[in-house]
Amino acid sequence: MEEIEIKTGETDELSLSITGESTVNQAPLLQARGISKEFPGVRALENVDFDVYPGEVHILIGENGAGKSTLGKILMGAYRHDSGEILLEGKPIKISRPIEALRYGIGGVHQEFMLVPWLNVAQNIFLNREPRRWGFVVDHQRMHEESRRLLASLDVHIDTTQPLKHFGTAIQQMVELSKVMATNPRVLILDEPTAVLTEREVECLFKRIKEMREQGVAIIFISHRLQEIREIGDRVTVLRDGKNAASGLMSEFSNDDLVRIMVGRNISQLYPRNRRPPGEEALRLKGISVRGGPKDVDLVVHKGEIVGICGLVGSGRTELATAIFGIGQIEKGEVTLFGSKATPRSPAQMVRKGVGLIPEDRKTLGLTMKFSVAWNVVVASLRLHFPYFLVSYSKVVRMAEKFVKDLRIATPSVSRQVKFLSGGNQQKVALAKWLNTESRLLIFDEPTRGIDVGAKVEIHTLMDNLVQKDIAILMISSDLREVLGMSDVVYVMYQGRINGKFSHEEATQDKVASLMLGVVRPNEA
Amino acid sequence: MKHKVHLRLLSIPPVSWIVLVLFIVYGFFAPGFFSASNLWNIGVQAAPLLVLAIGSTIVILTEGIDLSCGIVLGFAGVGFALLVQHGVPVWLAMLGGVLLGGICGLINGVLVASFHLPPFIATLGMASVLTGAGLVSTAGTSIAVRDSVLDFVTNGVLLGIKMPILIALVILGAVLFLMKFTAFGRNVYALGGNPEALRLTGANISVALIMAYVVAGVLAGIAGILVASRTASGHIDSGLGWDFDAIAATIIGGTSFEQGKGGVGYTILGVILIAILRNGLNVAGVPNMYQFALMGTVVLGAIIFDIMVRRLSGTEEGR
Repeated sequence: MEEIEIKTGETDELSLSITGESTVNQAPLLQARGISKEFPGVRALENVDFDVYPGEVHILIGENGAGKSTLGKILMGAYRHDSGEILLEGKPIKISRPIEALRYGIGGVHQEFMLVPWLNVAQNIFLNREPRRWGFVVDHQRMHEESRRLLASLDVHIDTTQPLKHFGTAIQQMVELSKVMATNPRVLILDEPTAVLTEREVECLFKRIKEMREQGVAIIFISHRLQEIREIGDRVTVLRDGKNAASGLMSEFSNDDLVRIMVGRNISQLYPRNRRPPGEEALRLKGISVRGGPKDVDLVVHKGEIVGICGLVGSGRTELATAIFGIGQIEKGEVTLFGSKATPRSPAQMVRKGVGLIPEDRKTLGLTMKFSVAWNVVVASLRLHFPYFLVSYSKVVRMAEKFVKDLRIATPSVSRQVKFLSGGNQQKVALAKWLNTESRLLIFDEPTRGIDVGAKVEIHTLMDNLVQKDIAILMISSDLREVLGMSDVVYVMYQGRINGKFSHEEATQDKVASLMLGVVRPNEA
Repeated sequence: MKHKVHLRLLSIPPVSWIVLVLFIVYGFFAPGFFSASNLWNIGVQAAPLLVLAIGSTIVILTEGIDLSCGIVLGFAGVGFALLVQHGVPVWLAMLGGVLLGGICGLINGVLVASFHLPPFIATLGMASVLTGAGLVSTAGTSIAVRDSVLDFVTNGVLLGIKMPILIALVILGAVLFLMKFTAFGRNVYALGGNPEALRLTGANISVALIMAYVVAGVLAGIAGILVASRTASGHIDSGLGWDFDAIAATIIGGTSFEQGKGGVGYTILGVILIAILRNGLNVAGVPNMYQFALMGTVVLGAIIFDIMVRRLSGTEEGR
């Protein structure tokens, strides 16, 4: 794929036809030239060029860690760039603080929620921009009215006097969006806005984005969901390892092109599996019911086998996983672990028995974000490796370095705090933590959610390597392709019950999906 | 339906039940507890603590803590007394004492916001410095103040309410207004909840944080004047142990150290609880030395009770 250069004439004018419908004939509204940014030990951006015109949606894609969020943050004034320049309507501007970006009409939604949990919805939307009476008294009535109006334009109808904390992540994301819309931005930067939204909510958001595009807003849309960017994007820029990899009209690239440019290599095999006959039984559940969760679950996992559970959010799959790990109350049924009866009572007990859980939410449950890579790797296995109370730091570093090398964790050193790593690399650290405990049964809850294509393949390869070493894996996922691609046996959960069981050969997308959605009853499938 | 009533009962702050039980218990065991004069007395005693605890609540909402507020209280009283001793008019000296509290708060705020010291270290250090300064300037003695104004501030009655109680309630009202209707209040909640979110809206979070400590300092100063007026003297130790009471009242009131949850409104319940405990022990004739241990035990017990009830009622997350 050759790189597409957008020619900018001496007058900085160009004619660009977008999606064949609208024609833009202006200078770029916002332009970044030669932007570089270095964090301690990581070069996040190197000489990156990017521009966006009024009335277009410019997609910014790249793997996690490619620098797309960093670029977004620089344009929003959340980070300062080390070198390069930013131009607004052709004139250089200085954006070193958020307030400056806002003054220029540049606003955006960050990938992480920038919300205050115990303030109410309206207070969050108008944080630091409250409508006032007499210059200093917050006009709550107007604030709530405006908030309801803004939310309604995204088809969200909620009580704006409730603390934000009482709402789920999707609503919170809509509040984030309303917050930026309230500023009437000329340039709108959206960093992974759809990650937590359902299909219907995404539809509403896209409708709104298209309206704003009509109104001449310049929109930068950061994402790595190929399907949706095709629906909304006019132009696309791919970043790889902090550098420009390609740029051009969306229609000039196929999805395969984009993936290849993002990853910088061919993905020969999306789901790498070397299947082998299963070994002895590792885990057997018989008639397990969990309080407030799954009912009458029968399930078997063998050594050297990946068992996938798929089901919708709320089907009880996560509750099942955590119950096996000793969290939650098993009301009845029998758990047999490596041939002997076990009653999961606490994670500590299950860890001793060789079980590891890589949870869905690695940021709050899987890792200690402020700890270094090294400490995260040993934190679950201190007693195993250091039975005599004292911890040898050099041994910790050696162990961590081995994992960094084996799992190809991209980090400048093992003493780096994990919060600075990309999602894929964080997931590898979470995995290393359990490998270090010499776990023989690993439970993965959404192993590759929120991580990019290249890292997904790496995690999948690691999982395959693990089963080759006779480890048993129970994998929970809502990504149907992942479940079908990786599992030897597939269980489907629906409303707290096992709704179907398939071998790898039997399982097809249609069968599993219809059971998962409860469209058909088990015996019809 | 039954469930709903049940939930509504649980949404009343659990500490109210303890206050109710205390009233009943003291009614039995401490004759004279329910006399009008004693109830007024409780109110008057609680007034400075309420003012102090409001400041404490503000700081805790920002995910900070002010361990110096008790000493600032004493220090403001000392400053006030010394000013009067040097011939400054009493009203002006009171203002001076309050200002002194504000300056202490400013220094606390700068240490936390600009030098990024952990709040407990900054304020603990501040407390030590102020104790030293107070001891040096008074040679460790009480500075007596005599003036009719003090009598008015302590015993005066306006609108049928004793002055200290009136002052505390006016301050409570003013702070409630600040918290709900001004940028100051929103900043306090946002600083505790998600300071980065506030920063990205273009607010200056250092200034916002410093302001929270300044207000807490001013309130400690006012509390100091109230105490100095009642005792007709300024002594650096006059607020000894009050920091614990103020923080305890905040926590009992439901303000938590996490994510800017809670508010000034309920802190008054915590203050009432502590004031009743103190008063009841006095009326029952429990010697002062036992009171410290008893108070600590009861306050810790109340906090534990509070947390347990909240957990049961599901208004608190976690296990």
